[in-house]
Amino acid sequence: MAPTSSSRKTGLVAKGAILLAVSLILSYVEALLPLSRAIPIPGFKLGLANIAVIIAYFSVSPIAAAVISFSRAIVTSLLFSGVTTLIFSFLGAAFSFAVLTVISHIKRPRFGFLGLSVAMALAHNAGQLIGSVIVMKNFSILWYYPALALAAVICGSLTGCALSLLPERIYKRKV
Amino acid sequence: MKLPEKKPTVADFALVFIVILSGILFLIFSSLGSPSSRATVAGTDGVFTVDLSNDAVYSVSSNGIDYVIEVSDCEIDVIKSNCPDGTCLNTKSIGKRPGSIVCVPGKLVISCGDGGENENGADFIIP
Repeated sequence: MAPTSSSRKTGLVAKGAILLAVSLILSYVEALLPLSRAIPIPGFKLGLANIAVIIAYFSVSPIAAAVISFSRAIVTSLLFSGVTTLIFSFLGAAFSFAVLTVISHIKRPRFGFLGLSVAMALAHNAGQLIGSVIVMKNFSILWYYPALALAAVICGSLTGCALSLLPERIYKRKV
Repeated sequence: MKLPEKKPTVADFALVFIVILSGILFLIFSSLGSPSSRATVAGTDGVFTVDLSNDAVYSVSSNGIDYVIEVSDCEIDVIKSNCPDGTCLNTKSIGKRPGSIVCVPGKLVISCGDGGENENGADFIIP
């Protein structure tokens, strides 16, 4: 029996909710890792939650992906880092989502999951640093961008590989 | 809107190559810079400049967080802090190389190099 329009919509909402939960769990796992000891760069993160955002973008809708991205930024800031970091997370999420939207609409050159993840990580870091400059009123923080960019390549490649390994049916808009 | 390629494309490799190359070049050129003679410490309680040629220990407070900053061997470093993040403590000392030490929860930035040499905006200078 083919799913009706309303049951399909319900299914997509449920899928979006699951992906939001997944993104929060991934952020929680990241918060548990002692990354600041290993790599002491402010704002450095693995960006595992981007996996859930990208899946939502292609399998549910861009709006659902935006909701997941911004909700995750707000919830993780309030839970794990405090209100100060809210603007960093929010700008990081906005920049990376903008890059996701642009790259997904570019026909040439054609990017793969690896390039998409790296570009999103770079944009996320740029957004976070701009947020830091606004909050701390100090441009010296921009010194960190080259180191953050190199870290973004490594972390973006990891998430890109993870996305490539997922079966193609995960990205289909089916419920 | 098409799904991105599963296998890495030429554009992916080009992006990764450009970022790695520019990052490495920047890090090489910044390490070649001359050592700084002064560092700027900017917190919520004010901005001051310290002379890196004199070894000293400073106690600084910013946004309710206390720091102990040490100047030793022409370098400046955060040696003690009650900040919950700990990134500032783990950041390597600066001075011989340009850069900055940032503590986000305490809104503290210690900088050397182009920004740090500029004494404009400093409330006072500690010799």
